[in-house]
Amino acid sequence: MPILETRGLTKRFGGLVAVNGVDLSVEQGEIFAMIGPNGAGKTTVFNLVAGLYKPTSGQILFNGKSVYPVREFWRNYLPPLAGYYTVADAVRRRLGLGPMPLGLRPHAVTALGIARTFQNIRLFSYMTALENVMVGEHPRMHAKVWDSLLRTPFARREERKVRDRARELLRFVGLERHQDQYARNLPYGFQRRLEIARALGTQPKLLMLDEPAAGFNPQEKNELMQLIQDIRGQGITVFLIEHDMKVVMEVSERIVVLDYGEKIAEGPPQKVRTDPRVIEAYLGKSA
Amino acid sequence: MRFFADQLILGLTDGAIFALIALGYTMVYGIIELINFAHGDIFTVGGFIGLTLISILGLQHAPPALLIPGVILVFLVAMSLNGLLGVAIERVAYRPLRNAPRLAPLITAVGISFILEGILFLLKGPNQISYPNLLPGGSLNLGFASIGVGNVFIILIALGLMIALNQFIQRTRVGRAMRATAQDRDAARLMGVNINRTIAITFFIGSALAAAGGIIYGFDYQTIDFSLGFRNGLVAFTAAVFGGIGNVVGAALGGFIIGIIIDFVGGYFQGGQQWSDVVVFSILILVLVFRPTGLLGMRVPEK
Repeated sequence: MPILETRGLTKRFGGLVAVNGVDLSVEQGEIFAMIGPNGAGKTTVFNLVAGLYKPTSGQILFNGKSVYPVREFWRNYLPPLAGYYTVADAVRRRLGLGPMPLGLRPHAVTALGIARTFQNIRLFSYMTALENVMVGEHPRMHAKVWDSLLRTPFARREERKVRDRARELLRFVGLERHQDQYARNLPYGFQRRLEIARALGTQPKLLMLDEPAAGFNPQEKNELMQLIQDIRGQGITVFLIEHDMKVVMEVSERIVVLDYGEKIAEGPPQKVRTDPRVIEAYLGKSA
Repeated sequence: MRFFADQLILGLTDGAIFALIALGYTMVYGIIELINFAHGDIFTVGGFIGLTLISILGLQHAPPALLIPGVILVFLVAMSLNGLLGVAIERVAYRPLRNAPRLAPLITAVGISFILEGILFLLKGPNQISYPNLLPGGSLNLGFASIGVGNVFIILIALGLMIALNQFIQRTRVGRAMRATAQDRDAARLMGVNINRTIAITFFIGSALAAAGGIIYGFDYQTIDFSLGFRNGLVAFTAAVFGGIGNVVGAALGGFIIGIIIDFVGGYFQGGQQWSDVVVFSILILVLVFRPTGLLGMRVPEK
């Protein structure tokens, strides 16, 4: 059973179809890459899976279970009513607020075991590297509001445990010497690594990396590829978007290619590299 | 010299109250960039809840042995109830507008402010109502000055709450989630932080601190009325801006400084409170013009 599956995933923004009927299936334990020209809808797919956007139609299954349990039902059985089936929904539409957000909210998706990094780095700049990773561990912590307010022994013990785990993750990505620096003061390459450590803090089963090699020199790219292999070595499935062909071809086992929101090719690197439709999408028809 | 010391103590006492209110403004601004204009009235409501609890428990006539647990109980219950009021207001008036243009929640905040004032007016009438001072009386004589024991208690209660708040924000799971949400809401959600709950907790804490401020105000001035929140809220807002809105330490510092300024101006100039207000709001304008980020800036200083 694939760890992540999308069926007919579609997202419209007004008249623009950003993602159009995309079927993906990411197998447990593999390194899966999604490539495509700028604006092909890759990051939109990530945002849909992460729960930041709600799909216009289609399904997302994580470990075989739908991430949008409620909406799915109505979509399948009452298509003409989709989006209009409650008074609240109709009122929201009248007010221009869009349909009721249904399905899991992003924090619940993260709790299921899906974590991600961002194309343009989005660390908590005014927190230390260690604190950033500790925020990542938030969904795996159990201290309730009252534990936090009263700082009970349980909360303190858990804080210590989480701090140790965060240190370990920083060591894993090679940032242990920078744990007390503010994220915004770290060099660019370290910030990218810190984002990965923070995402790993959520203890994901599936890690989505959005252009992790952007702006890296060849040396850094090699280190990154090693890191991705190490992450997979821990049993975490890696799903990445990447523009750098060298990284994609070397590190990933299967590749899917998007163009104008549609899937145009899928397969192992060797096959995708020579696919005429892929070459056309990247180089234009005349090439 | 004696007069100077007296004004200083008065200023610190008033400052403690302003600081407790300012914390609510600054926390809410920090997390959802909303100036919660209803906060001054939440402070008044907190004071009234405290007064109601005191009369239900009959604490004005309680023997000294029961007074201390009674006062602690009043603080805890009033802070919790007021916290829930803050959460309810957020749920009804601010959360539905979170993605609306920035002006919309600002208008509802002003609306909530008038609603709360109206309700208090209807329930409690237009007159000043006397408030019992349950803090110990007497004063400490230091030779050059005498300090009211009650004032010392007020300053200590406020400082204790502020230190606890700072520890909470800096060193706990929920506090860290609050800081993360303040810095990047979407990134925080994707790291598994339930931002709706985190924002609700922020409102709870801010309103609870305002209730503490309201009860302390009652003890200090021994009077309360429905419109108390208007001026005190605006002055506390000035304190929050002065310290750097969004910055918790800044709000506490700003509160104390504004309190001291008010009492020195009021004490040394003919005309008292009117002059204080002129000076305080001049400070607000000057800060906004020359140092919009306030004394300590929006966030923590650079390490």
